[in-house]
Amino acid sequence: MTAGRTGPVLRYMPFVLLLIAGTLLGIVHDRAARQGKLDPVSSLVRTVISLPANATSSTTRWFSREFGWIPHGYRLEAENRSLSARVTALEMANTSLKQQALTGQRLAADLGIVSTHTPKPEVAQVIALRPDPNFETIIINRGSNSGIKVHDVVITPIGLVGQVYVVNSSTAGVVLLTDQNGMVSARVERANSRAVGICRGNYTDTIVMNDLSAEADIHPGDRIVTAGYGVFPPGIPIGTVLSVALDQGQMNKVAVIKPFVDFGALDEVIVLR
Amino acid sequence: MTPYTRRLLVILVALVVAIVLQMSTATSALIFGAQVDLPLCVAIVGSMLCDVNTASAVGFTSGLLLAAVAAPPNGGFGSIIVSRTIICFVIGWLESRIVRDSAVLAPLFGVTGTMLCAVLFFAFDPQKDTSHWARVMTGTAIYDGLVSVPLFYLLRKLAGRDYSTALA
Repeated sequence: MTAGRTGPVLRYMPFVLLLIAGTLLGIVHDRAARQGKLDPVSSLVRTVISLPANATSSTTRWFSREFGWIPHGYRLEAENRSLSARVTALEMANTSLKQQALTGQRLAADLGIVSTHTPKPEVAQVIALRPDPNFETIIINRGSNSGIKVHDVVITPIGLVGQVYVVNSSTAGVVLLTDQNGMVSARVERANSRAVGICRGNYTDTIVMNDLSAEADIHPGDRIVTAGYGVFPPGIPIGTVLSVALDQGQMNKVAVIKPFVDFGALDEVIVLR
Repeated sequence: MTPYTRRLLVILVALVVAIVLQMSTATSALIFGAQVDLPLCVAIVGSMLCDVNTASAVGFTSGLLLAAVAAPPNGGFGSIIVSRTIICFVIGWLESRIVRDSAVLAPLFGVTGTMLCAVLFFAFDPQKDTSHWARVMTGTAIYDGLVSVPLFYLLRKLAGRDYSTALA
């Protein structure tokens, strides 16, 4: 049968079948995603693809670690001196904080306060950083085999990154704080401020904090941390306030936050299980 | 190995390499904040070298690979696959019916293919932030257009062209 004698439906049947297959895969995936799981097809594809991706990331990291200092040259000596001074200051602060923590533990024991659940940290490598330019997501090389679950909180030593939204056996997807789906209740880290709001991403390198009352005590330069409502533990650093303004209705304040974490250079993250 | 099998194999390997590079290095090579969509780029250029149904399969594979890796947080898995399948089908159809093996068309298909793909995705799965979506679409389309030119020559060299549909 030649193409010229075949009807258009038969001629393009493979295309039609692929469209149906794509639609069905989408339905199956969305159904599984509602439970925080990956459908079997995506799970298989991701597991297979994550092997070379992991190897590529590891190789890139190795090159960066071994030879990354070469282009920086002389700047390293000055940076080294400044870091040594900073380490000394931080060691002194650390000693003081340890003493305060011990005092706190003793007081809590005396008052009979039961300690809340302490999350277990799990270090993971980032194997894909924003694979689709439309979404602010990353893929990490730890999955349900390492005890990672949906809604687990992801951080770096300097601040909040986001939360796990989908898991398979060997990888997990993390929605970043800069994505519009990444939301966290936050507060100002200042003893005399009770300002609480919701931080939400807007696909830029800043985050918007809204739902603040018009009288909220929040100023540029304030540090913002997680408030502890929902899945995020309290006190995780988020960022610094850049500007504060009243919203269009003049009823609430809106603050623009510069996150502590550089979301474009994530390499290694910590998952709080 | 027949030329068709070889071509298919080369495009498939190129798609896998593209998705691995997209995962590991795409954000390190931003131009004015725009990020390339390598799997889509390979699918578009690969479709220029195939017949219409094979082009659809290339688009489908590209969509499946990216959707499985990116797994959009608010739905859109099927939309990624279907939009790429349609765009690659259209490119395969144009290549077999109207245009023939023209490197000049690679950047044109790169830009318009990426834009139409994003428009289809938006139509199937409307996004909350339209301005972000439009910004990303424009940046990615221009980037894909630029990458399409060397990619076209590379893939044509490695995979060869589908001469069954070419003019004499």
